[in-house]
Amino acid sequence: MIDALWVFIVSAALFAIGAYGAVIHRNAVRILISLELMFNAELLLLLALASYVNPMNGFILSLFVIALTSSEIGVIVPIIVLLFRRFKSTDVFQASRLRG
Amino acid sequence: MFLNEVLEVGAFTAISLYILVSALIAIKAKDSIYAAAALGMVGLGIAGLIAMLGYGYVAAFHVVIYVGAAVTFVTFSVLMLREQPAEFKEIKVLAALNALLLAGVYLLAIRSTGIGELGSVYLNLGEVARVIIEQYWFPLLIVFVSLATIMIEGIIVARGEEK
Repeated sequence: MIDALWVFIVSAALFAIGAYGAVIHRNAVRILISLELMFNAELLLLLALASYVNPMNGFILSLFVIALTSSEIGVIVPIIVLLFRRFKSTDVFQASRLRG
Repeated sequence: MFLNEVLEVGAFTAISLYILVSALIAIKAKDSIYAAAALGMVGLGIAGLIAMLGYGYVAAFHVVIYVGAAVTFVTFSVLMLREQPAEFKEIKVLAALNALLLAGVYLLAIRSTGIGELGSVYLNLGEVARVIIEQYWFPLLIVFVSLATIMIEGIIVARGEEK
């Protein structure tokens, strides 16, 4: 049996790596990838906590979370592609030029 | 019995290291394609840990839907966006400190729940499906609407390309 602390440490480390990446990058794709790392950390934490508290609800919630995150990627990536098509760059600071 | 525990701890350690190294590659890779591929590797590792927790079906769902569809979509989209990654070099130290503090607070918050050893989970998929349809039909509806919206958005973006 694995001690929960080790799962929490892996989750926290992955979350911290994702947070670091999200802060230092200017490229929208890299920011999205960093946010996805944070999502993976949270999913692991959710299931680790659910296995202790309520496995059935954790199972169902995780299915919804995975499906909605995949949808979120399906929304954000076309936005990034459109941004690139307009400005020939995915620098997030270029996006502010979209304002009227 | 002892051998099983050693194997379990060994597998957990190996998968955890694989996840953390892949995550570092994902944020440090020079090319975004490698970063997206590393994200896929992180997803596979997370699925491995989820399976070790006893959620085999969730792990399979994660591999098929998240790694198989979403991350692959990101990887192929990145092919259209060839560009050097730009970084805020001047705030790297602050960002690293921020990440360390965040990890510390995160761990403290989780530890306050007092959870010790994790138990193995065995769930009947038919029972889960019954509960979803009877009790969680509204979130299920929202997921269906979201997925339909993504499909429509994809068609609109593709039609925009034609013009």
